Amino acid sequence: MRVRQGYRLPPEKERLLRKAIRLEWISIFFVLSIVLAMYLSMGASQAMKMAMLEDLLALIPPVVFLLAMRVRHLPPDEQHPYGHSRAILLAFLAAAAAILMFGLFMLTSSLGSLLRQEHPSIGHFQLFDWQYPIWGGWVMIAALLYSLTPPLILGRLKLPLARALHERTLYADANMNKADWITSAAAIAGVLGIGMGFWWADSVAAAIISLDVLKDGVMQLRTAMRTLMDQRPTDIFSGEPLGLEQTIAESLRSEPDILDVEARLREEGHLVGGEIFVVFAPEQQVAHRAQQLVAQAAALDWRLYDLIVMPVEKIQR
Amino acid sequence: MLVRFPVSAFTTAAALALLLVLSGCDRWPDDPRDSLAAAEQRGALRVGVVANPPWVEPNPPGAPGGMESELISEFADQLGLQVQWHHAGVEQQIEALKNFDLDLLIGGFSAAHPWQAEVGQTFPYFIDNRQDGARGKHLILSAPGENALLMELERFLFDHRDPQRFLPRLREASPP
Repeated sequence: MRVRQGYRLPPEKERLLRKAIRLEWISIFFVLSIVLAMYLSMGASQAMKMAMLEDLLALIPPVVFLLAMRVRHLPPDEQHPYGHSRAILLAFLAAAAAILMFGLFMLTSSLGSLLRQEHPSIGHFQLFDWQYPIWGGWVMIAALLYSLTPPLILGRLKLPLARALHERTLYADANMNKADWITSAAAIAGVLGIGMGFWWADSVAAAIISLDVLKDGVMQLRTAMRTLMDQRPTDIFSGEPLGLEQTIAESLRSEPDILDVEARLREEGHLVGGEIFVVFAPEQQVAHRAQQLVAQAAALDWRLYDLIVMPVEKIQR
Repeated sequence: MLVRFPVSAFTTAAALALLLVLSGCDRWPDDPRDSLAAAEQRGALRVGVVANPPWVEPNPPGAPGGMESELISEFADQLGLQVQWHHAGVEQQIEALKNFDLDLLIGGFSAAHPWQAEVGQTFPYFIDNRQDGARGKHLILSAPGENALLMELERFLFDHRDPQRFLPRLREASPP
């Protein structure tokens, strides 16, 4: 059986990829430290619990991304002639569906405690069996302030890397990070509201947080589905077509021995594969030329990989 | 890399809001249902009692005996308040506490009590090492979300959580 050739990133992209991997490890470290801080301070607050669980969900994109890096390096083999680049997208899809479900669960549970008029009690701060003469709410706010900053900075750092590497998982992660501060700010408002004597403040904040989780879930799910569905290559920021089809057609059409040309491309994770349909002038060494044309087309963009030139008699216009 | 998000604007707004909030309240945290203020106006705390010697030994219609009853009497004294003792079964008392018809409920409750989600509770003011886990952590139940009252009671408990106060009588009541 004929399997695909393995793909190697250009060196400068490889450097960016290493940076992205490092950022994701740093992300995991901060998420874990934030979750620990929240857990130790949360007490009985609904909003704190929700904010903590949301922070826990923020582990999913970096973990999926890092797993993807491991699988992606495997070369295509007899069992997987098209390579392994998509295995991880299934995990990403499942994780996105889980986030969506979780958002729904959070929304119903916080609306439920609003309906039941549950009044949250926050007394002195307790750590296991030790008590401290300070209101527990202040400690929660301190933990939330800590949880606010790292994602904000990491999200900003990841965005340009996501675009340069054409990594949708990384992009979704960066966006989730960027939106995380809203969660923390809502939870802070909820705790302050309790301090002012508004029992509902906490549940309302939790409901707002759950809406944010729902939004994350929908965004991740759409990202995963698009990437799995062989969509036309598009910009990961704007969703506009990259126009690689035209670039290839224009480049090849200037060749004297080519009468007509058309390309059909698909996204395979961070790479772009596809077919080029070519009408050759008569009496050409078709096989030889076809290989030359593949090389010419693949040089047009770093993402282009495993293109096929298909000689055809005529292109329907 | 520059973080262009308006963090400074956000923190300034948050700090201003916090100042506004703190200046508008004489109690922090405040009671949503004003339990503490109402008790001060009434001149008395409404305390439910559930029999559980040696912690609570009801003696209707008079003041109950027992270590927790004494603790509450001292707390009320410190606030300059009387105590209205309410006698009923535990389910009625929990219901009354949830409906803010009581301020506090005593009955030798431990951290293992089954109404965690429905009512408020203090931190464990005494840990009985002879009982395992949460069963040995003694606490007092309070009206749900009435955080000013809860904080006031806990501040009192900080100074009165001396185990020597409870241990001898506990040993006397139930010899090992």
